[in-house]
Amino acid sequence: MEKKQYELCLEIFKRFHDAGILDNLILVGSWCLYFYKDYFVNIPYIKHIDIKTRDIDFLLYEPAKITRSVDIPSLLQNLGFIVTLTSRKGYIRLEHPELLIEFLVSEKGRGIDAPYPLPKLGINAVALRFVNILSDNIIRVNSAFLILHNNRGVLTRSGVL
Amino acid sequence: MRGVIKGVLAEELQNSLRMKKGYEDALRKLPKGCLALREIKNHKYYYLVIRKGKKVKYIYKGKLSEEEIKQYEREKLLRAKYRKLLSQVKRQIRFLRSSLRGKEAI
Repeated sequence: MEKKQYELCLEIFKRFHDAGILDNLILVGSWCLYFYKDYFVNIPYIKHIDIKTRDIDFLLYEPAKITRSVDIPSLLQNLGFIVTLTSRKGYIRLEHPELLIEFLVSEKGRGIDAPYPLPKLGINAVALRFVNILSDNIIRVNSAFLILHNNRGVLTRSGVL
Repeated sequence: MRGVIKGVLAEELQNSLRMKKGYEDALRKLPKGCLALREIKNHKYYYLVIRKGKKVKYIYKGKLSEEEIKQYEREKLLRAKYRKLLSQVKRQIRFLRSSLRGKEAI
């Protein structure tokens, strides 16, 4: 199952990169640990520390600056992802037996008690307070698969919120 | 009181149940059947083959454009993918239910 999960995760990154939206996204949460093995390349890396959940979270650090229109559900449809609405408020989550994708944005001002709409990406996001702490301190990782694609990196930040 | 691990498993079970419903809905929305080609006097005619109970029905579609044929192929692949994933989700549900059946708090 793990191998399948990794392959699926990498495929998602490739598709986001090809669609030109990877630069707008920061990987947060437990899945960062998978990419840290490329970052801490000179340090003995313990494989056992990467205990991950099925959830893979992406933080959009400047959602208003997204200019490109990419329908993310369609982009991932043929991988078997389906769109589900998680609460009565209608938070969108992309689900697959191996992975669940959620999108986060930083909550500002008075905040909103509803999903943050992202019509250009065909999704909405969960607005969370203080996630800017994560976006202010990012780690750029050049992962092996991404080096093949124009030497772009993946922005990661793991943290407990 | 429910243990931490059991709480996580219960949440995963809820996720899987929602996913199962999602795949069933997605499969319902996809058109049924697959295309069959018949060549009559050097003309290509397409039929949509659908199983209805014990009978197999051939619905005449006539000449189709390349785009329409590709669309049917895409839907066929997606249907196969969704079926496979649905069976995977059902396996996960069985596993999670059996894990949660134990009485001791983990």
